[in-house]
Amino acid sequence: MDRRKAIKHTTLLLGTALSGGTMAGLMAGCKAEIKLGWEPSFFNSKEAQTLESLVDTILPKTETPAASEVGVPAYIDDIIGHFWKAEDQKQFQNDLTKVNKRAHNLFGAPYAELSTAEQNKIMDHLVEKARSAGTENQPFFLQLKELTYSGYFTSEFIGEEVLAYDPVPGTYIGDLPIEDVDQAWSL
Amino acid sequence: MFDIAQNNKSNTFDAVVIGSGISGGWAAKELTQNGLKTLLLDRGRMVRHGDYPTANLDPWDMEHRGKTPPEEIKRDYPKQSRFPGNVRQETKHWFVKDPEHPYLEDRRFDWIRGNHVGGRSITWGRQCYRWSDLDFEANIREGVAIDWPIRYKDIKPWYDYVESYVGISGRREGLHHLPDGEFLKPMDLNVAELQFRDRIHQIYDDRMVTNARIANLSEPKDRGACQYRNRCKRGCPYGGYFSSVSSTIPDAERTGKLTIRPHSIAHSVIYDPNTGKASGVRVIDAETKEEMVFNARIIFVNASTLGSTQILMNSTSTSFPEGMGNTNGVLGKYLMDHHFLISGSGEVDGLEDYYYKGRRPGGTYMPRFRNIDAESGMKNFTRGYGLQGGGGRGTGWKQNIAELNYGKKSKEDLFKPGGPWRYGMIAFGECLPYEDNRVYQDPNAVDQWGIPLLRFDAGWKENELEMRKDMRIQIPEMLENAGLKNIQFNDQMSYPGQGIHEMGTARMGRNPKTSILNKWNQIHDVPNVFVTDGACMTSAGCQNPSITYMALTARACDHAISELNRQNL
Repeated sequence: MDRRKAIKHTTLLLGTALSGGTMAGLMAGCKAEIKLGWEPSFFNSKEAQTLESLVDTILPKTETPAASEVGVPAYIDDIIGHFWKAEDQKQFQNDLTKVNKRAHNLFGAPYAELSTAEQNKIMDHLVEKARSAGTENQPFFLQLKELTYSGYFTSEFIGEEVLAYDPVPGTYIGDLPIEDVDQAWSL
Repeated sequence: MFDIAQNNKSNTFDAVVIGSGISGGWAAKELTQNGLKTLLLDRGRMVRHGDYPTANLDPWDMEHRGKTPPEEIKRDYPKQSRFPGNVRQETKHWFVKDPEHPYLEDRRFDWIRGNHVGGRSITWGRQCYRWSDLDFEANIREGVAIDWPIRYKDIKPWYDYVESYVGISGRREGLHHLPDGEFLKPMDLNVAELQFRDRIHQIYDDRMVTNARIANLSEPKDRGACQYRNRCKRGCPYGGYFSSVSSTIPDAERTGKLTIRPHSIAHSVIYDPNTGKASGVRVIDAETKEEMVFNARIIFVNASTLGSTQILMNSTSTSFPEGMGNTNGVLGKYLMDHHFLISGSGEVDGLEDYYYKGRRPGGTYMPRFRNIDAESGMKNFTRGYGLQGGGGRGTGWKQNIAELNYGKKSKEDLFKPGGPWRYGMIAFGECLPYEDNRVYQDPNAVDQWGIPLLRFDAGWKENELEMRKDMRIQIPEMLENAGLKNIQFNDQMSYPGQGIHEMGTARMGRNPKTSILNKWNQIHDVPNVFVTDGACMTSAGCQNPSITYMALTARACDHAISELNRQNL
């Protein structure tokens, strides 16, 4: 049975609405199925692999899915490939290469093959570089973070199953008490 | 079902309406409901209520999550994209591809439009504010341009009439200079808007904040009520807002008197010197390029401000070598729009315990407060501006996106409501009518149907620029005085046309020597031709203009029918 249907069916049987977080936890239990295979159209396979690991360092798997589980790498591939200027594309690719170079120098393997602690060390370095960066260009860390967040929070799974999804609200309430709120709206 | 008029067959009608946008839809409805066999022409494709291909798409359902790649924008929409957000995936099909519908610019002019049945009534902003005699008497009082041939009392019953049909949510405020209308209940303000409103009312004697007056149904009429999806510009399958396609055209069709002909380029209106009237409309089929003529007793030109003027300019004859009704050279002159894009926003404190449900399609409106009486008179500029506004609250992830952190620790908060409430507002200012702000036919270039291209030459002048100085002071000052924090101020140049409130170029007036249209929107010299879209405007006000076009159209239709009955046309 289709994974989502199976879970929706279960919810119905239980006769209770699961919160977004719990729901996502259940879903994340099916990791092997949720992991998206994707063909990069802009990045080469090595860059794509690095990117996939980087976005998961930014949004790792918790009771909600990791960034790579909801198509974030493919989203970034699409956005950079179709929307960015050539010089910015090149810079981003250079930055991916630099990440791997540093991974090799410090830990002797590409970023994707490092432990979480090792990956965090490299990410911390990117954060420090962003902290000391000037204002003229968006630093690599913030580029990466912005792309990861926008891809993650506008993905179908996060939008429909984790955040509060309400395509047809039918009403407007401008003073909803926060204690009545579980998750933020996705739309 | 609609039937497409065939060439050389049923080519004679009681009335032809050119253009099916917000005013043309009204003309079609009024004329057919009064028994006239009416042909409604549109340049573009047929759209029926419900033909809204993107209405139910979420961001993840669309290519590139709804964004349109820069290459495509550069190729197809270099000018249409000058209004931010127009040509995203969910709305780009409502805008023309510029290479197919070119125009020329001596100075930048943003002619933003869509060719399809329903026109811009599908994508309009839906804000509806009545004019008052402050507006109708402004020109004569200040000695600017010419006097309007009508006053508020002439149009008031027609505002009442169209508003009752359109369905406008709004709050009655009893303001003299922004008269109340026939409102449905207002849409609620949220906590941030209420706080801003209350503080403004405490601090300022001369200004107030009200609920946006908006053509979205806060309660069901014969169409469904607004569902608070805020996807109006894609077309609403619920009929939650007014458009020609959801409202006037279906009602016109129910009479059995309406024929719609899409893909019809109105080339010109044909003048008959023997009768002193127009005999019909010359049309080119947009697809086959076949030329045909439709005859009628009366003609309503509702092709949009500049579309209508383009048709009149192209309607030349021995009697009118410079364009129909243009014996005085006024046609194409006194082009106006609203200037805008000065805006500000700030954080509203103390509302962390509140969130919202629903995506309401409108927010607040602060009516004009400059030059409305002796006390509010300004030294450096005349007329004034109104401010549209709104408040909202973001999500954790947007709040966190520029922070220098990552990973598990911050992750769970990303899914929660995040950050403070914000409130912001943007000004729309009146532009005076100037003779040298104009559009004219390029002598050398024609479009694919052989019609001369329009060429624009218009810009803001001292009065607009002085008014903008005041906006720049007042917006941040009001936000600050209302206690907002971290105020962001945005001051962009605004170009004529960009407000998509283009007006004038075939103005109404009392004197045939200085105006094209009379007080009933008839061409002075060709009384069976009516122009009731934005082309007719003698001044611009600062209010969003569509509801005034609708009222003028219904009024002109009523006059046309009584004149027909009296055998005067």
